[in-house]
Amino acid sequence: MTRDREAAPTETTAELVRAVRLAEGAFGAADLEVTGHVLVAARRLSGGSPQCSGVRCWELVFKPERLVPNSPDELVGAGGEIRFTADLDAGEAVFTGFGD
Amino acid sequence: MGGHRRGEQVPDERSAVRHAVRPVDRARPQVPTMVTTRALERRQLLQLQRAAGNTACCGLVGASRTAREAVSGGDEPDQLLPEDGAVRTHALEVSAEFAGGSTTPGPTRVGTSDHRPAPGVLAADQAVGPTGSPTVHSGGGNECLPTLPQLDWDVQDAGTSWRANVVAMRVGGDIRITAWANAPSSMTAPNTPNPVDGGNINNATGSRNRWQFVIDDMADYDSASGGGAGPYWHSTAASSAHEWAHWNSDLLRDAIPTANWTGANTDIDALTVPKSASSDAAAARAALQPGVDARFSTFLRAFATRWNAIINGTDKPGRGGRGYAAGMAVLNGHISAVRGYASSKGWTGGGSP
Ligand SMILES: [Zn+2]
Repeated sequence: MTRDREAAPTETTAELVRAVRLAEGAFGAADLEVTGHVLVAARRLSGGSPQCSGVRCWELVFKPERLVPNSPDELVGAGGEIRFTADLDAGEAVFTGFGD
Repeated sequence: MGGHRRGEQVPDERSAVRHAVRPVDRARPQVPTMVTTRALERRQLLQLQRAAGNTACCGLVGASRTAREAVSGGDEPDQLLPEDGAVRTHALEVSAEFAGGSTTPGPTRVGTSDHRPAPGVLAADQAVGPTGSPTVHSGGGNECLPTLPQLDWDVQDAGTSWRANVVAMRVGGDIRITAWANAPSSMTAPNTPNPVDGGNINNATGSRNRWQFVIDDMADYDSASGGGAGPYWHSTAASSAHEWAHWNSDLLRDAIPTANWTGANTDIDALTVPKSASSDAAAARAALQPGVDARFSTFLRAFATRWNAIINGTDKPGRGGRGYAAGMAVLNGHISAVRGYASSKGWTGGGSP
């Protein structure tokens, strides 16, 4: 029995990693700090979006680390989300708004 | 910082202060005083119920503090509650304790019979509502992060035994509200809409201040596609309403009663040790502590599970969350005002610049 059940990277893996890197790179352009934020949601917008030139389009949501619990008995903090849409065909991510 | 742009203007706390009603930490009154206080509370509540049309809190104070009523759907709008601080405090406490409570009827321990409890029993018999309020911060994003509730309890003499007695269940945490850009006379964005002559709404093609663009940017706040605040048009009042909905509705009216605080309070108050085993109150407290801790921990786990389920499950645009509903209600007011202004000018068309 193998401990590591990770599959080899796929095209999806590569797309998501690239989308995250594009979004993290877009914090600065939106005058926001990437440090201290963690990814809490990622969704492929399979039909595209107004922010994307094609259908390789991802929505990514980040949240301050301090609002994310370290155990199930701790409370998640409401709010603090920062949203981006990453356009892989254009090679860019744009800030689309805040949560809360 | 989440939701906080570098170099943003100093936040305006006015809207936060307006909502920052702090329930009073009430020391448990002595019995003679309590009768007077409870009679007063009953009168205030009845007035409040009539004003608000709210049946969820009827008959609670002075009748059966363990009576519970199921949530009948949605939160009562805060604006229905009087602005008077004292009355509002009662309303918050009652809502926190009962509205949205367990749908399982609890035991009725204070009835209309002529039963006279032994000294000490009456005080121990009362359910205790949550007390405390969040610390409100300006800036640093828009957030609501409660801390786990804390329990205060003491030991009461119950004749041949010592009884645990809940004194308080204290809630706290942090709310952060960051002022949205607000330049009422400047054709800039991000901004807060000010649809008046000399304001910041226009009908210029390609402008982010064009009326329909402004409406569109606010209208998607609570929608699954492209929702959330801004990126260009929003208001501090909407953010404030959102965060206080987390506190007043998700925390006080849902997570605490759903985790069955009333039951936990009842169970802790029922814990006793015989005086034959504990010679004084200090010894009794040590003997009661494990049982109190165990029951309160069960409540805390249920509370954390419920709060996290609410936030993780609904606190996203278009997911039915109370925070987004409260914020959207404020934005709908802005949208109506912008639309009315555009209509008065005879403007048509004009979406994305
Ligand atoms: Zn929220």
